[in-house]
Amino acid sequence: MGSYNFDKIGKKMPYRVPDTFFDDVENTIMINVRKRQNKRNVFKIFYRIIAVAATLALLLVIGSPDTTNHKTDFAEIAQAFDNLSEADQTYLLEVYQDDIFINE
Amino acid sequence: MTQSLSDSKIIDTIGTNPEAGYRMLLKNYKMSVYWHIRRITISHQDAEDALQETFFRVFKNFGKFKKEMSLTAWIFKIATNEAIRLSEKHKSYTFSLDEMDSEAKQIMADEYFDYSQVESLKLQKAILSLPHKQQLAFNLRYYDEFDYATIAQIIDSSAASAKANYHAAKEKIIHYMNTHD
Repeated sequence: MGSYNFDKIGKKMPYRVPDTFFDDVENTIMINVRKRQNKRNVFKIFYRIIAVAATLALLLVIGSPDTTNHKTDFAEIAQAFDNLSEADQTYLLEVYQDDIFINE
Repeated sequence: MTQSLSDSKIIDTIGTNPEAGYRMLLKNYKMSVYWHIRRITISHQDAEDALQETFFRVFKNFGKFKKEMSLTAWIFKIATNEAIRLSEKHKSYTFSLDEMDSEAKQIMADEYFDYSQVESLKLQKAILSLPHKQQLAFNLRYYDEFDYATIAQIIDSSAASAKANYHAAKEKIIHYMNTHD
């Protein structure tokens, strides 16, 4: 390996910074960090509100009984029962009339 | 290295008074971290952006800092990643100094370059001609005077590999300095 005298340059670099850069940068960083932190907090609160609202909306949709549909369902079942022959109707009544789960 | 306060004092202060602790950390590291980033980004504007992002990440993730590595190594690791990420995004990593001799020099001339420093400019060009890890190992050893164990933590390698990268870099730089005007 050849040699080179690094002491000629030392740690000098061809880069400069604006005159008051290092004095100002500390405050700039602190202000920006605070701004970004506040923004993050606002987003966190916003997302929580959205999440709660979505949950409530879901509960309302799932939790509210749709009586119209139920009426339709029972009417359809009654109609289907009526369509059965008399023998089949008698059979079903004999089988299920004492069923404790149906008659609970 | 220009840090003067001990890392343990900074960590303790952040624990008791975060605002004062973060200011202490900034005071202690802003210059060395800026210059480390600047040697990677070359452009002052990119260096400033990377510096801001570095400290934002340091403050945001301070709770996750594990003392498996020194605070210095942790901060420099974040700074290195930020500087590389920003440089790759802006593609400024290799262009500026390489194109100094072309007409592009006039366009890319940054008011925060000192073109009169011919020899130090040549050294930067020599460093920038090296592979990535060699650049980092050389800069962290030559300018920041970190030991190889610390360099290894920053660049994700072993101390032996950091040492090998530094010596390979030094050899190439000497060759460059002796063969280029």
